[in-house]
Amino acid sequence: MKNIIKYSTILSLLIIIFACSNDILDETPQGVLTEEQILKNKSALEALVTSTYAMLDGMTKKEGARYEYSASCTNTTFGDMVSDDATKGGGGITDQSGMHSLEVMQANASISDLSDKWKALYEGINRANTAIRLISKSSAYDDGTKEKRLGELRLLRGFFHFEAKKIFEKVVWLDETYEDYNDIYGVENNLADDDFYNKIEEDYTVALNVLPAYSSGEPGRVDKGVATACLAKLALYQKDWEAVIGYCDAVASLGYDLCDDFYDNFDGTKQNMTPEAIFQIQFGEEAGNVLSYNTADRLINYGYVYGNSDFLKPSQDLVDAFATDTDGHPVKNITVDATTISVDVRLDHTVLRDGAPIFDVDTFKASWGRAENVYPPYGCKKKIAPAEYYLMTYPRGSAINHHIIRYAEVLLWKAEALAMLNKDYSTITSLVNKIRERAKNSRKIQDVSGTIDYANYKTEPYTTDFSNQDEALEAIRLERRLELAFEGHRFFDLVRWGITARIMNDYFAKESSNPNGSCEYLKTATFTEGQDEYFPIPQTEIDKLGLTQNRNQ
Amino acid sequence: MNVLNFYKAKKQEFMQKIILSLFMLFIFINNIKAQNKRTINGVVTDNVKEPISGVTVIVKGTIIGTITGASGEYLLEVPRDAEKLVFSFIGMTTKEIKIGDKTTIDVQLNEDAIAIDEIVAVGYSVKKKLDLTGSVGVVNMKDIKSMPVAGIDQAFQGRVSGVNVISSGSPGGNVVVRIRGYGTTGDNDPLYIVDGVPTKTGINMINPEDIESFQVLKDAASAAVYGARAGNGVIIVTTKKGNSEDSKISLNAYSGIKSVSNSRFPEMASPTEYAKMLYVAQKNSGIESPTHQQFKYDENGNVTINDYLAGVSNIEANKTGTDWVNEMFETGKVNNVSLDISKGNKDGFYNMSLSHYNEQGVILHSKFKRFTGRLNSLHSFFNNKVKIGENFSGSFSKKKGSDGDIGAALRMPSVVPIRDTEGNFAGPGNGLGDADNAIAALYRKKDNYSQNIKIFGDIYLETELFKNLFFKTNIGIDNTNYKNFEYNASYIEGNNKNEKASIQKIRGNEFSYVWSNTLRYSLQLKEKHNFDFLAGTEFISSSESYLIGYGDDYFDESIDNLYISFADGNQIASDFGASSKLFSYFGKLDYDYNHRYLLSLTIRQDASSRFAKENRDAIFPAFSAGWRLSNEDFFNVDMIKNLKFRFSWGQTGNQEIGNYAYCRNYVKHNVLGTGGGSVANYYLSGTNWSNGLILNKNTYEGIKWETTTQTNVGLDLGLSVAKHSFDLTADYFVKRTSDMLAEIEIPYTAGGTSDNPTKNIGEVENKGMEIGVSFKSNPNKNLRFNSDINLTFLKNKVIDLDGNEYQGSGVANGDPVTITKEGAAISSFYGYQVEGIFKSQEEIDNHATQEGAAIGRLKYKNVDGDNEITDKDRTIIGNPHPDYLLSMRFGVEYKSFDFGIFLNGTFGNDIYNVSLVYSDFATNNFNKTKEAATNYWSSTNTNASVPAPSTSNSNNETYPSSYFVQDGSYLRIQNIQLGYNVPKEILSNLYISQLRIYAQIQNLHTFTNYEGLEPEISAQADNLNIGIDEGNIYPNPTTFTIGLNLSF
Repeated sequence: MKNIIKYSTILSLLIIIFACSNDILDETPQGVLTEEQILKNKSALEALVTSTYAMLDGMTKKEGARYEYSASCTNTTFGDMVSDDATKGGGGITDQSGMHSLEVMQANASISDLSDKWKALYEGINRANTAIRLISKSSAYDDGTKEKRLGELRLLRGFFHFEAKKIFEKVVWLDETYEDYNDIYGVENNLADDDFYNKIEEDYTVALNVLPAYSSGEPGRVDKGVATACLAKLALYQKDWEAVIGYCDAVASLGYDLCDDFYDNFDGTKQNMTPEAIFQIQFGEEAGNVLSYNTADRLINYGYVYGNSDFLKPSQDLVDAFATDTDGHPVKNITVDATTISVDVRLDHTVLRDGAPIFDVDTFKASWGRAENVYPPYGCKKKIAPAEYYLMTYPRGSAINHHIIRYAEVLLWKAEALAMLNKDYSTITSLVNKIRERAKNSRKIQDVSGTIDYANYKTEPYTTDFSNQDEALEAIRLERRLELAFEGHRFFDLVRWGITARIMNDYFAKESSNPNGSCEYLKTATFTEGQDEYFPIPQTEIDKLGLTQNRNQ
Repeated sequence: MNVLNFYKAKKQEFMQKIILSLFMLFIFINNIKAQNKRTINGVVTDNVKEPISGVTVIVKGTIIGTITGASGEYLLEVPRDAEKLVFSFIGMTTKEIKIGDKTTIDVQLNEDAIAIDEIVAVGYSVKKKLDLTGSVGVVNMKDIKSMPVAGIDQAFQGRVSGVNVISSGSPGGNVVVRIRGYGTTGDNDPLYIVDGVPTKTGINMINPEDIESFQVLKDAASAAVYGARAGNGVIIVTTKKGNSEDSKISLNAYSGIKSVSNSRFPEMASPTEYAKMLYVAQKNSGIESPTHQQFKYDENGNVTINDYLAGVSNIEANKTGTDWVNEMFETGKVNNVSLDISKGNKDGFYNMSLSHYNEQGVILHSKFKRFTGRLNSLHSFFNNKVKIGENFSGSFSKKKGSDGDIGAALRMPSVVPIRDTEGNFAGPGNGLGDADNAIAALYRKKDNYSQNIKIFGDIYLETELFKNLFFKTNIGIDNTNYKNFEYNASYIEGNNKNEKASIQKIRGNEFSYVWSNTLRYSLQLKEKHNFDFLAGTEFISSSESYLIGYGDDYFDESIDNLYISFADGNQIASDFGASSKLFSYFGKLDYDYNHRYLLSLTIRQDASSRFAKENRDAIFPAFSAGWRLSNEDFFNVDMIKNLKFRFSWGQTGNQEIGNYAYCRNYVKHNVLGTGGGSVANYYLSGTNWSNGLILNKNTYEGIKWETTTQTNVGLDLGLSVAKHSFDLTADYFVKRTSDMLAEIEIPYTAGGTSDNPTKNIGEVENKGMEIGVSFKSNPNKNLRFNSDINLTFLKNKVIDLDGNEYQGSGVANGDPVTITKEGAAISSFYGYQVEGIFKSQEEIDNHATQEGAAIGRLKYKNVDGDNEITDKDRTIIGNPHPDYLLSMRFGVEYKSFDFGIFLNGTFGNDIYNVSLVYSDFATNNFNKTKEAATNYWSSTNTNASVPAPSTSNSNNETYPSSYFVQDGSYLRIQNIQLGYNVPKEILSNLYISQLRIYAQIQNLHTFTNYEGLEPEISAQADNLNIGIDEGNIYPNPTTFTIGLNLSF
């Protein structure tokens, strides 16, 4: 009896111990959501859409403080810094040497500015694709927003592809059939330009058809206005001038207009409230989240309170472009080296000159320059903001939205399309004049006393209509430069116009021998036509995916 | 029905000792009907007549026995017909004494020359060292007793061949332990088993005095019983039991001072020397009349130093120069008190201990303290049929202050003073770089801390189910609660400032429990065939969680008010949790024929929740065999006491890849603190930030275990001639890690936020040879010598990486300095090969096209032969892994004195000295070494190694190159100890059984050609950045201590 008890006890003990089921190993992952969970959860799907928008600012590094200065759709590096509008700035030519090599048109395919940019755009594309894939599969939406969200995602996906095309020329098209990295191997970047643009157009058109005229209450979302404007810009790149005009008119019919004052576009108190804003990257001041600021552009700051990274120094060439004659019309070949020379007021909304007030925070001093004898004595004002909209501590950054497309640009697109069609010069002139008129009526920058103008401002509309295509184009192109400087367009415009080599090489020569004695390093810079219009595709993608490098990089 | 019956059937003289040594209190004699008894007493001493406590005294052929007391005395009732008494003690030769008519038997035991009876823990069981067929390193705890270091992991450096221990001088600092090299680019930390409970979090929470034995399972056959987690080797720690009939109280205490000799600090340039170099640099860069904001130059380059720092009004220039590095150091202190109370008898034992360790580091404000408490006990029930015991420890440790940034001190120009004219901390002015005031930084961080409270231990039950069949069940826990506080004060120091104070606090918990069950069965056939079977299951469940809070902007920065809720600015919280499980079966068979032919088979099956269901299971087999030639009947060489050949082969695994690497999942994302934020959120509404969700990690679902296959061939030789004995253990091993788990870099076209996928991609080989030699000599009663030498040769090579190449994370100006690729060692240094300095235009003309080539500039080797220096000319320029490790110990005992010296070193390893980027090149405004500032290349000094100063970096000289690679070999006088045992005659009146007083010096001197502060670099970030000295290594100080060991 005793043995029976003993044996059965032992036996049952052994059964308990050795017959453990493998199911005990089934762990439900903690603190993360699986795709199965997301499919059933509308809020989670909405969050996937949100994160696609979040890629507009280009920030991908999860660990903290940002170093992806070139990744944002603000295009500070690829649109402004490499153009004739600005120099790199900072502590000297070895400070951010990748950007330096871009500026002097000697970038190799391995620099991080290129891979950061490529990575950010394709991260945006992949986020859009993930959201499209899951939202399409899900039945969690029951209120008709599903179609709208898919439209937003298609628009963003098209936009990121467009940006990639603009910078790298030969790029990869990825749609939602690419689930994750395992599917990427085998892609190619050999689509013909038209085929690639058509794919973007398809995305934009789907968006146009499903998106509401305005995303009421959610100005951060893309809407019909964005889709139409994006289609206009796409048509511009395809040189389909009639289509450009059509889409520009369609934008106008949605109720967009110029705001009264040029500065309203950059005024923190008027963000998302102007009729001019079409497509913006939203920035803001979120407690403890510096990434809510425009941290990609955080090196653009000057002087004590704003830190002293001193990047993006406007060129003398740009400053001079703002010079006006006694009639308030643009004038060439004047060196704007004193506040007595008459200029368009937009200069001092765009550029900081010595002694100019930085809002009501401080007064800009040319001597703050970290590398005074290397770079021009200016600062970029458009990217900084009054103290209440600026993160004054590390890592710094502005809380002001960045305009990807604003209505002023739409007016100039239409003018450009008309000029290319060589017709209707009075409309062209009135479109340009609308912008000059607004500049004329914009607030003046006053000196520290707050009573007198800091400089001699004079801007007037053109009094006679342009008489030929060359004259019209020259005026339109100048107006774009003055109006949109540091909004990330200049270099792409030059490439689109096919005049990059002439403009850039003239600029290198002129800027490197400017009277300030700075920018000597530009002497050796050369823009090679047929090569430097586009930037090298990151070497990693050539190596890992076998992509073809563009041009002669 | 007791432990001894089973062993009685076996070769008693061996086995009794095993059992009695380990399960000292399993002795029970209740079954014995002793009608005719007599009493025998006596004293057991060693060969110098010192009494030995804890000696087992047994009546031969029975289980009747006892243990000697504190003064070696014993008293035993023996049956009338008893013939012999057997006296045994670990490390001593067992003696059998005929009883005859004697009632008093005094015995003198001699030290066992070949430690024939030493037993080692080999995983869920113990084995005689004699019968081992694998490679197990045993640390002699006596040798490392009372070392003035916080953890046992630091103390066993150099004590076991094949193990490289790299520690830092930081109080309670990081210790890196690598067994037989780096097998993977992932996790390389060994698995620790403390009293049967596994832990991966290291063992410096254990009071070193509590440790009874410390063993390293090096080859796969030994470690395979731990299967999935044993790929990096296993360290088995057993804590002390009670083995004294009378209550025994031991007190160990030491106290000492620490310092770092300033001869190890690089000699830095004086302000004038620094200024002159900058002058020459500008001249060399084509500037006609050089200027500097801080210095005035006349036409001849003579320097006047401005009275105040440029751009900052209240900081007076230190014209004689501040010795920044030296100012960071002070004399440190260390003291330790450890108290142990134990008692053991046939019914059980207990062992209680308390300890307090306190260290004040040599760098200002760095401190570490630890309290530990332990209770180990064993109890018998049901007539000794069931035994229940436990080992539990609790510890509290706190590390305060910071390790400091010596790199910042090296970079700060000496013209900058520590304090400004008002007595506040100063900082650099214009033109003097942006290095932090290292002294101020130490002060600002003095209240930072990280604190751990750890509860660790197990409860076990053991019983004999049937004859010779033992069952043991063991439940262990490993619970750590940790707490961190990090404070970033606001400050203005010269041009450096932090406008906003912030704090970050972390509260976390790591918890795991393990439940293991084993069945053991022993069988002996025909007296000579011995079988041991072991079968078991193990279930491990682990979880972790933490909560981080962040606050910034404080109007009152006094330490008492640094709470998150007092923050004027942001107040943010974030938390995290994860869990994993492991379930395993294992079995083991040991066979020996007359201790002559030995065979061991092991198999373990593991299933882990860290892999997808299909890939969850893995089987790890192993076998080993040994031939003890010296036990053959025909073997008849008197002086060879032991000669054994061993062979083993086995597989072990690695699963340290994070918990959810196999399934695609999404997270909200937020990083706290300065520079933090979310890469997923967006202002959809224009005013509120909406939360986004992003892919957490790219995943590869087919991911499975990493497997390490290891073959080991070994030889044990024990010689004994008269009073001298010599032992040799040699092993040759080939360790191959396949299916190596590594994160692969994916194309950016696939995106760039999510972590890279972990995949089984590579194969790494570590080959090596280990030789351990020990020598003992006992020429006369008063004199003994003993010495050990450990020598390890190691070669690391990546065999296959599936075409991937890994570059390190990059240092200094962001360029990676290491590469891990096929055919080279893990984390090899990578860059240009410097061939010297261009001395003439002719030399430049004859060289490959090198942009920036000029006289006085570094000359790079044209590796790819295309006659142009490009990225493709980068090559392997150094290996951070040592070719060999060497350690030596010499001990001598004379009468009551003992003396020991221990040397330890690594040879053939390179170090990448990042500080040179700052100190040797004038492209930055950081401080220069005296060498770089005064002995640079010039047309009149063409033998200099430092290139001509230049403010331009057109020759790319701060880019990774062999210029920065230096030989990291060192040999260190690690420990010198002199002890004195106070003679018994003096102590006996004081109820003291033993008193030893000693003095020791730790790290007296380091012989090295390395120019950095410290050749021992433990602070590596990860396995792809080995051997990089970023200039912030906390040097190992020299420590002088005196101490005592006292027992009652």
